[in-house]
Amino acid sequence: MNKLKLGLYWGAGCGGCEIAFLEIHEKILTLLERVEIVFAPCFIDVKYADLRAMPDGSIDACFYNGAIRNDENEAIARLLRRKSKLLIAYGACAVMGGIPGLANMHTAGEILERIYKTTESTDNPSGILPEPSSSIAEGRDIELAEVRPQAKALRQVVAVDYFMPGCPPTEKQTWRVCEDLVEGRLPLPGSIVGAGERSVCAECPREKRGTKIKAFKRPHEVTPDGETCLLEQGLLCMGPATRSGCEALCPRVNMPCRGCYGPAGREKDQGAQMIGVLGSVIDHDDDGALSAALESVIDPAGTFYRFSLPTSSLGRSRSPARKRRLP
Amino acid sequence: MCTGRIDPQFILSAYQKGMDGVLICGCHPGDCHYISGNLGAQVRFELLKKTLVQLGLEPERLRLEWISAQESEKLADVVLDMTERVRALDLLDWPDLDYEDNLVDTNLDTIQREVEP
Repeated sequence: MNKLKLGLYWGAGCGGCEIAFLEIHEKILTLLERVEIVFAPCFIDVKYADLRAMPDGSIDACFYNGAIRNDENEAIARLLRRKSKLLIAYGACAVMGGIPGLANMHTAGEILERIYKTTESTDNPSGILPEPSSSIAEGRDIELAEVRPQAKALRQVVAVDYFMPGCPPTEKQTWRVCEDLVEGRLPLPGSIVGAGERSVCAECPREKRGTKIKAFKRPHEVTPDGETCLLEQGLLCMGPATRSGCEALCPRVNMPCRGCYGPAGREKDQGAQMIGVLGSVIDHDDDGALSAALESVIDPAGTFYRFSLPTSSLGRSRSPARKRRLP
Repeated sequence: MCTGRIDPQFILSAYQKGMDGVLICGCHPGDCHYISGNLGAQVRFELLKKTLVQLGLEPERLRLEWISAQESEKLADVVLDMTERVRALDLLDWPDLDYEDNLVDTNLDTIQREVEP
């Protein structure tokens, strides 16, 4: 039997998605009866040159995880697009930009400046910044990937066939998608796979009582009871604005949902969706109570867009330097 | 429509379609036909504003005012004042279509042609 050729690649990610893929454990043996992994720098010995040598379209399906943060991520994404029949954005970073996408709250210059010059633990008296190309003592030039001005999701760089959200996607969902892939049961290209259509609340066993709250508490400030809705206990749980599919993993263990499956249903902007929800959760009878509630939301952009800033309406922080003057 | 029906996405869409400022006018607290529609709107407005200001939007571009049907003068004053404040700002470039390679080409054929052989 002809085996499907599978690729796995990591862009700007943490490596967790590779681990998540291997979390199917011994089922990988069953999978390997049907597929052959031809490109996966994390766990097989393969180089970019081998990938370039493959004929176009020779990889049947490629799982790409991680955001597009530097020119290497981008070049390999384009190369993999050409070599793959199906390109699957695997994990929150590839689907929406993910945690690396939070970098869009600053310019690349500000980030380099902070990391290499001004962090409290930095010892860099001559202010050296990483250069894309530099000469070393042996007289050879070495090349480094260059940081792009903005972090992006995979679909902001190349066409993507399937989107599989999650930070990381759960083992069950990974296995389900692998099975659908080898059986040829995947839905129409462009679909979100390995996730539900409703919100995390639909899978969450906690009870909603309609309690309104005055202000939010942070997870370390409160021990929630195991029964009632976390939002109603004053924890900023993103569940109502997050796609189902994880079986409410976090709320089940007293941790508010962080929103890694992206906006629920047909919504495009997770932050707007969440703010819409909070309008009917916060109780205020005067402006003083409202400002107390507002103050308790310490980092709204980073909370509501924790995984989705690059693909949100705004995409990134507006920088004063890029403003245009009135004509 | 009741301010309670204003989804934050409506406001973002207005900016995306080229508006430079968004003014939301609603009934005074206590006057709501639906009891608390305007109070919910106030929470959404304040949260959205805090988020957008954190992301670099000028606070003058988003405003909420309680104006009843009797307060025609207040409406005129608020509209004039808001227009003036927004006019004093730069054009709102949202989304940054001129921003380097921000335009996404989702057409597979074009992308494949673009890739170097």
